[in-house]
Amino acid sequence: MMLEVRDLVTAYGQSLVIQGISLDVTTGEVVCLLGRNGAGKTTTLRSIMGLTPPRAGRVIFKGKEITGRQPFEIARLGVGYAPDDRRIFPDLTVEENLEIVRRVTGREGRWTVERVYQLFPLLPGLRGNRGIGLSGGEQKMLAIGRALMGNPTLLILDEPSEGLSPLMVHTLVEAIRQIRQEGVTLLLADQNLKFARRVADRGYIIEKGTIRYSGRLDDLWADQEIVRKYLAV
Amino acid sequence: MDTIAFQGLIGLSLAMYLWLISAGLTIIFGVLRIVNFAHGSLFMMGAYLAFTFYGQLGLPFWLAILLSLLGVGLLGLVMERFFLRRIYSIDEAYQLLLTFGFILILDDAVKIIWGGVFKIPPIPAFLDGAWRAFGRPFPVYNAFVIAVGLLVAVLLWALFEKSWWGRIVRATASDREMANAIGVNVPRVFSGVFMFGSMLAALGGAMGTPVRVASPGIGAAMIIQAFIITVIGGLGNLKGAFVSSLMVGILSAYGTLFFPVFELFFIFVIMVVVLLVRPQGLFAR
Ligand SMILES: Nc1ncnc2c1ncn2[C@@H]1O[C@H](COP(=O)(O)OP(=O)(O)O)[C@@H](O)[C@H]1O
Ligand SMILES: [Mg+2]
Repeated sequence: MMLEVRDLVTAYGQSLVIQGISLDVTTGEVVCLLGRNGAGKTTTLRSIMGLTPPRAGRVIFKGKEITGRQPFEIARLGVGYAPDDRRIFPDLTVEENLEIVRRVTGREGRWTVERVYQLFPLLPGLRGNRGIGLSGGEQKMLAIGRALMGNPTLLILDEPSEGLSPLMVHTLVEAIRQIRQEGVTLLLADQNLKFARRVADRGYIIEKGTIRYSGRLDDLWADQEIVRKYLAV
Repeated sequence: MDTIAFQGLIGLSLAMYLWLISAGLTIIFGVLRIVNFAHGSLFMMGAYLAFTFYGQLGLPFWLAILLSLLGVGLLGLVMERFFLRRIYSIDEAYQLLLTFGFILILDDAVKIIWGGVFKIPPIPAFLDGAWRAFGRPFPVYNAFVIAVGLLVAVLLWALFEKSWWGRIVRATASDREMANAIGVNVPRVFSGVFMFGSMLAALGGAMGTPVRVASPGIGAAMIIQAFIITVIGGLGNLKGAFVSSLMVGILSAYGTLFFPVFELFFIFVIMVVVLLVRPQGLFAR
């Protein structure tokens, strides 16, 4: 098992945002968290990454408990994370944004700057540009590339397709398939079931901080009632 | 004409002194987002340690400066690791209280160790004397301060723009949470930056002693100047601190020429004028 989350409870101040979520990600799988805006997807991912430490529950990565560990330790164990708001380092160049991860994690492997450039062909032309000048879509690609630079065994992507043009979504789908072929396990959060279905096998629907559905995305797609109840706007 | 040129040189040496005392304060604020009011006290410790190593123990000048930097760097490390680290996440008023507490503690420590009277170590022979510049004697020591100031500027530029440590520090300064998430040991970066900034304060102190006496309380005077320089330059902006030092140093030198009575007044006048026009400072980040 790549990742096990057990009875996770996370709060911002007084408000319990995650109210006992359990989920599993098997090695080699692509799993997607679905749910409307504000359902608790981002918070779940942040709790796994150690950015918003949970109040209760356990996060187990490759059989090892990582609950309450510092994010940098979790990153160094092999969890890559690309946040929904991208958070590219504004005054580093594209290439520095990638290279810095290799330096700080010390995790050498298949993913190099050149491999990331192959995956996202719009990046090499921008390699000397500072992060602050990139478009939203370019930042999104760079954020995923940056997360790969630590050669993660588990890659966490929050809202990867949000705000992308159809052409960029296509690049992203191809990239995710290639990343998976390289043996990386993925956990995504996305609101777009159509997109999720193209890349993920299984999904969990979150609403108000609890899991309402779990199963194969193809089955979910066929179940219009659940889709309407938890996903449609 | 010569008077104008000579005064420019005086201004430049004042500017480099201001730069040395404000660079560390700026770096620490830029990364840790705390105003270290004890920065002046670290400067004072640098001055006293240099006095002891050079003036009392008779070690070579460069070695004395180096040892002062190491000593104060260690002190800074202890301050950050065991005290400041505990208050980053709580109200900013505590930063003021804690760093102010360090001012009081270090002032008393200096009185206990070195006594209440001021100390002046001798100027090293190779820096003593004066050169003629524009028909007037210009102290060699001032030229030395200018050289060290410019050297520090170049080294800091190279460190932050060209080294990986510098890039990691810049990434942490701009987004500490994301830096943490990609694998940066942020607490360790904070310790390293605080230690480094402390050593810069000590460099200013150690270099300043032969011309400006070391006495308890110089830290408080110095922190006011350093703080004003960083506010004019834009808090946390190193380039801003450099430009602001140049501006204040040179304008003060000319100001003093025409209105000698207002010597200490100019830095405040410049601050007020700059902040009226640009409240965020010259180079806001
Ligand atoms: N930093 C925060 N402080 C307080 N409440 C927050 C914070 N971030 C998110 N929330 C709240 O937590 C809930 C879940 O948010 P989030 O995890 O971002 O959902 P999703 O990613 O599914 O859109 C929402 O009600 C949101 O308003
Ligand atoms: Mg979200």
